Amino acid sequence: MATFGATGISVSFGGVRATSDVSFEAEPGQILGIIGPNGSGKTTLLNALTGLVPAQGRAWLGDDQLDLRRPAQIRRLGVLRLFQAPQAIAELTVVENVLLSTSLRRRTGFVGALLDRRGMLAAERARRETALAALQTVGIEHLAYQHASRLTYGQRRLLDLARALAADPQVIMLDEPSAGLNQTETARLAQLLQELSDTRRVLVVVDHKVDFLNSLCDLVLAMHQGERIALAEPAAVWADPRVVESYLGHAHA
Amino acid sequence: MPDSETAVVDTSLAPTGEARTTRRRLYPGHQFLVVLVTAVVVGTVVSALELEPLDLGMVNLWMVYSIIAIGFYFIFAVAGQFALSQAFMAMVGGYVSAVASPSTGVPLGIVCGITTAGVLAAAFALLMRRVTEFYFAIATLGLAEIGTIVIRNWDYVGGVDGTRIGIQPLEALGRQLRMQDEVFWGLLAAFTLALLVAAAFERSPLRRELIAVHRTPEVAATLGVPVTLLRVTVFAAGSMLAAFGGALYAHWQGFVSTEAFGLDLSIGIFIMVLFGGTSSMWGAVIGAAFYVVVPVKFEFLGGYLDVFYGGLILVLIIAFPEGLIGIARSVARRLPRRIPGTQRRAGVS
Repeated sequence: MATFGATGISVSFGGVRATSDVSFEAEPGQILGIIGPNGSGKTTLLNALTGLVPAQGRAWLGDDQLDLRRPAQIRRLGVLRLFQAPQAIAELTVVENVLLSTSLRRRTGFVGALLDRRGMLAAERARRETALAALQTVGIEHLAYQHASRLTYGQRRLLDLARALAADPQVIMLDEPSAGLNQTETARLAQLLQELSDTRRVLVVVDHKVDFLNSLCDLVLAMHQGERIALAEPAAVWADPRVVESYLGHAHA
Repeated sequence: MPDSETAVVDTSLAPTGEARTTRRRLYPGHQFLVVLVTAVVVGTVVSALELEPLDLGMVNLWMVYSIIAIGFYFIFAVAGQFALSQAFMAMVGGYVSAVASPSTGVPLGIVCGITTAGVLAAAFALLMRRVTEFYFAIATLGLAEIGTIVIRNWDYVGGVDGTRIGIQPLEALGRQLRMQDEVFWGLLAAFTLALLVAAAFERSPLRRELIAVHRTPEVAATLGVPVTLLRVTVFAAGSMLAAFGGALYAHWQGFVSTEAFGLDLSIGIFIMVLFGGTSSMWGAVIGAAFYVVVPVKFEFLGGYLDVFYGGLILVLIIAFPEGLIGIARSVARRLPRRIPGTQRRAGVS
């Protein structure tokens, strides 16, 4: 497992700088929280780090450089990202949805599907066991063969998490994973994330809920208008006057 | 897992009364069996009926169109690519095979036709990898138009004004297939082969990945699904099936013209896949039968045929939005089910 870091990440949309010159580094086993008001560039930062928007700057995982123009290369290095809205594909079953995140392990393409069926099926069986185990961990194994369209919002979130578990990546980036979850679900999510990070992965969690991040994170990166205004332990970040200002406005009035 | 945690799951995310799911077989093998049974049934029924050559010709055309339509099913229904080039790819297969056959023999000629279409389609899809939806449709239309003009004016390939005659008949086991009933058995073998290939794709991880690439390309990419590779290969593979059908058609008919593979057929292929039903490759096969049979059987309507045909399509769209295969599905749902290899009891839905 390796450190995950970035330096000088900048994204511009026309004349608007959505993120500008953001840097951070997280050790294996650390959970990095990213906070900031709406429009402060948190999601754009994740998009830049997964190659979905053209970005400047550098990012690395251990000794490997992320090619910020190629989502596939970033994923191959072991960086997985979940989106703010749960991304279940309705036509597929739950377990099929999970299997999508382990495509790198399928070993057979068009030709293999045709000529090496034995190999294809062996790889598929192994992947399916992983996927079912991941579904069991998040607690929705009983829904494995349901169509994803039948899941509730909270279950779709868990499906996304199961994808991340099955993929076994080195870095997992989550975009507001607690949005739309009730209190028990949020608690369970926090527990799952904690377990994930205990296995020496780097977790990057964008969220709004201060309590949630406070209990979870080793480091918090605070953003405001595309810039990093703080990067420190949670307690230090909440005490930072610029963070307070960006969240609550000026103290006078 | 501690008990308290299980309790959390039970209260907040409890299933709503579904039966606990048993582990199913991945990709049940009976799909291949279904293909073989279909082939045997078609062969038996057709030989038992002793069809007139005209009707047998319709069966043959149905099998050729099915092959082309199955290719389009993967491109359009599974991968969501709006392509208007399927008829053109069939044309490529037909002409290239016709040109190559005198020196290579018919079977290798067909392989040449399929390969050419595959290379052409892969190169095109690679070039157009960032073009999607209607822009992709327009680009494929452009490819088809330009390609058709090239064939029509290139005498070596297209003959006089794009009509190439004197194409060698189909061959099987060292025999030339000239009569309609001989052609039938040759085409039935080709049809079965195409269905087996299609079933292998249908029952592979590629299907779900293609659906993911279609629905959410960005998400698929960040999950590690090879988006561009899949887009290119499905377009090439589907086009190769079209070329296979086109080459069979050329050798069966003994001549080809660019008109036979024009925009009419491209739209016809849409109709086959849409009306057959986009949820399974069998929809394309059923849709192809519809497309071949209806205009012939209702020919007596004369000038009103087009009106009837258009009306029929509208009625079917409203009544069976899932396509003709939707009818088969709803009938099947009412039958008690027993699938070999599962322990599901009849009556448990």
